[in-house]
Order: sequence, then C-alpha cells, then structure tokens
Amino acid sequence: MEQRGKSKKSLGVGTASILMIFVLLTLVTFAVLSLSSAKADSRLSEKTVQHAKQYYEAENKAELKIAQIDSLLNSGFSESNIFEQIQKIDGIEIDVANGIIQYGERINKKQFLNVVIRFKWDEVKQKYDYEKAKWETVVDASWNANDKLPVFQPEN
Amino acid sequence: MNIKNSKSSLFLMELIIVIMFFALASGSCIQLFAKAHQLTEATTVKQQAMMITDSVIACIKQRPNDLEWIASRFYGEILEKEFMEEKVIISLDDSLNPVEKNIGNKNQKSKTPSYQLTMTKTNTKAENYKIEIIDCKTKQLIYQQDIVCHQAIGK
Repeated sequence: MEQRGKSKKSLGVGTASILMIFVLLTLVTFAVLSLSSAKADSRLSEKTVQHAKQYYEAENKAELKIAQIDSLLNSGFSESNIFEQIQKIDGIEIDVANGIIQYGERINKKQFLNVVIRFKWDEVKQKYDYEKAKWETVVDASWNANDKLPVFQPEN
Repeated sequence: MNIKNSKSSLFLMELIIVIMFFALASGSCIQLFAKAHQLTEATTVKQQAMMITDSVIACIKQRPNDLEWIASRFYGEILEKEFMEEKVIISLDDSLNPVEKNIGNKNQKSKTPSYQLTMTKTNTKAENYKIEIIDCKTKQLIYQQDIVCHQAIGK
C-alpha cells in the first residue's frame, strides 16, 4: 500500500536534449582543439624542415666554394695568379697579408652563413694549407622590439 | 492514462531524435579526431626523418670518405659500387630508429623495416651525398636532403 502511494520519478521531456547538447559541445570543442593543435605542430615542423633545407643549401654552396679555393691553392700557379683567381670567385674577400679568405652564403632573409678560412704556406709539404676558422650562422636582420602590449613600467 | 501515454511517446520521440543527432554529430567529430591523429603522425615521422638525416649528415661531415664507418653506426649495409655511385642502405623501424640485423640468431625475430634510408655518394668536383627516406609500404618519399662535403686535397 505504501509503494502504491509513492510516485515514480522519471526523466522529464528535454533532459536528454540538454544532456546531448552538453556532450556534443564538449566533443566538438575537443575535436577542434586537437585538430588546431595538430595543424600548428605540422606548420612548425614544416618551418623547421624548410629552415634545415635552406641551411644545407647554403652550406653546400659554401663547400663548393671551398672546393674551388682548395683546387686553386693547390693548382701550382704563381702566388699572385692564385690570389687573383680566388678573388674572381663570387662574393669572396681575400686578405693575403693575414692569410684570410672570407665569404658569406645567404640562408634566408634574416640569416647568412659566415665562412672564414685561414691559409698559410706549409714549408714541409711545399703547398698551401688551410683550415676553417669560422663556420657560423649570423643574423643580420634588425630586431624590432614589440612594445604594443601595455607592460607594467615601474617608476624609479 | 492518455496523458501518461502521450508523455512517454513524446519522450521516446525525443530520445530517437537525440540519438540520431548525436550519431551524426559524433561521426563528424570522430572524423576530425582521425584527421588530427593522421596529421600528428605524419608530423612526427617527418621530424624523426629530419633527425636521423641530421645524424647521418653529422657522420658524413666527420668522416667524409669512410662509408663503412658510417654504415656501421646505423647498422647499414653498403651496396656494390655502380659506376660513380656508392650506396648505403639503412633500415628503420616505426619510430625511424635504425634496425639491427640479427644475423645468426634464429631465436630472435628480425624486425621488418618500416622505412628505408638510402645514402648515395657521387664523386664529382666535391663529394655529393643524396639522402632519401622512403616508406617501405607505400614507397612514398618522406624526406630528402642533398649534401656537398669537400675533403681537403692531400688530406
């Protein structure tokens, strides 16, 4: 008799719809977040690959120039002729007095590969010997600080 | 009795519509998840390919003419010299790590490579190296890098 008196509580009309809306909202949010994060990762990776390719391209050009310089230094021409020929190679600066050859290969708009080669006459081997003194990436673009954000400036 | 019946049929109708809509929406959401997963996997493979290529390049720079040494570092094998070309084949697993061959060990199953790195050396003015990584299943080129490495004359 007591049981008959109790009313059964069931889900009302609309509860399922509200629940579904919340579940779907969460699902859509996570899906969009994961896709945007994956796309951002992919873009970053593409940039890294692009930069690596640009760097190796510049390095390859620099190596080819070294090969040219090496063959000229060991060509057996007269000293003045050797340095004259080296100076004809595109973008090369030569300081005969200090035994320095310098050139740069552009990596991208902001960076270039700076190469400095030190050479000297080897009395024992009777030929020019050289070594890579510098092989570095140099940033030559000007850096502009972003001061658009209203950062707290303490008063002195 | 009539009111009770109409309420339950309304609830049933709502439930059917909700389930249908949920199935449609969750289907398109799963597609988005799958796309994100594929993109992440492709990105990881590309990054790993770049890293292993960088390691091979570092070895080339260290010992430009020593193909045997380079091959031994990555469990690779040197193919027979053809005209001006010399080739080193390196087998890579799913994570693009070099696969060690279990020669003479029958108990251990040898891992089947998922990717293959081919390093081709060509002698011209300077030494040219071409590094390619391909997917063994699809035969698709994943990463490629050309390297010039000059070794000083007389060294």
